[in-house]
Amino acid sequence: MLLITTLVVAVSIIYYNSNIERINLQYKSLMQEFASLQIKRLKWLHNHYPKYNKYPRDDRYNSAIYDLEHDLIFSTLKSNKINFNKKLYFSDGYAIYVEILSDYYLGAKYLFIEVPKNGSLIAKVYKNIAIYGISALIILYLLGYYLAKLFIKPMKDSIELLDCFIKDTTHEINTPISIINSNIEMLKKDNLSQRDLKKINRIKIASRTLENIYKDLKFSMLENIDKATKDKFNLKDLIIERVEYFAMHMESKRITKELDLKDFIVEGNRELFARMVDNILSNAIKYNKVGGKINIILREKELIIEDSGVGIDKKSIAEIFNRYSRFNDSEGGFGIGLSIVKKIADFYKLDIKVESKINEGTRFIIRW
Amino acid sequence: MVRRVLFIIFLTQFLKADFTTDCVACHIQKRVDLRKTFMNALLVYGGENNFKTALFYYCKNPQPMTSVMSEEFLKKHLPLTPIQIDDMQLKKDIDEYWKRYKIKENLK
Repeated sequence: MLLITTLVVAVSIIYYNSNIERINLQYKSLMQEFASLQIKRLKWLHNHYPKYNKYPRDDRYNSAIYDLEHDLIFSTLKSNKINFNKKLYFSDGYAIYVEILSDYYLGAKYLFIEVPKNGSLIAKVYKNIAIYGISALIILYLLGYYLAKLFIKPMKDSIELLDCFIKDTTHEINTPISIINSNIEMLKKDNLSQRDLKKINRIKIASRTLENIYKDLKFSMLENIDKATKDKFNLKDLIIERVEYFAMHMESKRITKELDLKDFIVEGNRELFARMVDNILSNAIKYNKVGGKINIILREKELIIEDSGVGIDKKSIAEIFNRYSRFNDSEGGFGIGLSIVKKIADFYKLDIKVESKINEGTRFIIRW
Repeated sequence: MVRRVLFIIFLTQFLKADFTTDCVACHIQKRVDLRKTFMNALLVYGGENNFKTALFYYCKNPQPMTSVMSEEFLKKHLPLTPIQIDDMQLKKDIDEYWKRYKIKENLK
């Protein structure tokens, strides 16, 4: 839009300047003729002065003569503005042409010729700029819109395809996840060897990761945030619960956690807040180093979750909340987790801030 | 008594040097039109100050190259001789000459 407007404005300026130049040339050529005529008359008067002393006048133009010291000798000009440095200028509705005389007839070095400015010439230029400029703008906007639509279509199609795929698969993965989870819980762990127990734990972690992805997809594709119920709960309890849920994930990467939690009663949908904490926490685990650290601080109206992970570069921070945006390809995922966090934060009018340093870690700060 | 009066009249006329006595008399004698000389000088020197400065310099150092008169005139009047009038008086005479044909005031 801006490019098209700039283009049309630039063309209009070029058109305007070229027309102004053309109009000036028209004035110049006309006034040069008047100047030649006036010089002839001045010459005659010079030769017959003081017997004749009537300054030559003409209905078609006004004129004035100035000596080389810029002193006025005689003037019939209507305009008050005198400019010795310009060949042609406009003042008080008049075009004024300045001719420098080589022979100082009557002592005059400068001859000013003045004609009324023809407003219709410039009005025509403005009219043309308005008509053609607006027409060009409309045509180019329509063309731009059509082309943009044409170029964006493949991208839009692929996003729609991805959405459809996710919607379809989301319906199908819930049952298998539930079966895996319930069967793992039903297993009698006392009868299992240490080696098998380890394997079961890995299956449990994988299943929970899958469960988390399922919840995100379900929230993202199928649930309406506006219809969420309103609960009153202690956020501290929720965080402890969610940390417990991810405990196995943390253990698998030998991540240590430090919790500094104070009671904070929140009004809102508990499940939505769980989604928000889960996504930040799962990222903090996923992108953390082996043997890394996660700190969670909860104070009145402030929640901070920080990790010692790979960090996000400054450029990517602005985009991390965009849907399907993934700031690191080292780990899997759809790139919808943080867009869910943002959506929930926006819904509850929470201020969410991200601070990050490459290879040092990332800090999410949520304020009420 | 009459001789004394005539002597006083002659003396006052001699002391009263002006444009008429300094310039006009000689121009009439040499048949050089004052108007034409003025207009020729004006055509070349234009503005009042420039005109007066140029004319003063010419009167003191007349040269065919700096003269505004025609070749024909110069042939007749060569060699040109500097005017023997003191600077103050010459300046006054030139002012008088300018006033005589002042274009600014006379154009209608």
